[in-house]
Amino acid sequence: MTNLNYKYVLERGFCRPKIPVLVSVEGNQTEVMGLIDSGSDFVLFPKDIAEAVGIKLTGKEEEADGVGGRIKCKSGLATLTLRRGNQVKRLRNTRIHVLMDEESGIDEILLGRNNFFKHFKIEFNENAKRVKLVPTRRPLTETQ
Amino acid sequence: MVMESNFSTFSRISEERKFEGQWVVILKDKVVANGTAKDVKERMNLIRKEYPNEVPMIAKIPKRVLQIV
Repeated sequence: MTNLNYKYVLERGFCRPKIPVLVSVEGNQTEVMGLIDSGSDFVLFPKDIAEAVGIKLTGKEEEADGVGGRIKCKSGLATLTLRRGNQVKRLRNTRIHVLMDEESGIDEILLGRNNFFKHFKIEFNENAKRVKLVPTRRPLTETQ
Repeated sequence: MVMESNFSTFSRISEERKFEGQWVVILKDKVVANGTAKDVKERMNLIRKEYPNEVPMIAKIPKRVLQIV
């Protein structure tokens, strides 16, 4: 398949690499806007948003360091689908980490390195305000 | 599938002050719910019952501030 190219989204005066992603969980389909974030180790959803899209928290509780300090996470699985024109990339059984602390300081959906970046070669072009996702044939070794 | 019209609506409202700092649910070119993440969660069951064949979009409209995540 060929590349998935996106323009940055203009949000209240700031351009950001946010892209639409279809989240599928047990028949429920919800589109979300996720921020492509190389600073995040995982794909992260706030707890209430994870519940709104139907993610079941099956993973064990973990701790992570965030901008607001140490935070508690759990995790579950979902299929993420990216579509651009007639190009489709489906990431099945993607582990989604869910922020359990409402006071974590993170109130966004983050598309982080493990479970998202590993499926692509990602090129940010800050001058053009564009991001290009080049799908890899085979993702790198699973670490989570 | 990713709904182009939801994305167009998101692009339009992401520059509006009205929804700044809120989560929104977009469906059929309209914002059908807005507020905190908890507000959106509570509305989603109703939205899915009311529009069983539609795919809603959930997005955060950030405040007009620099973001560090």
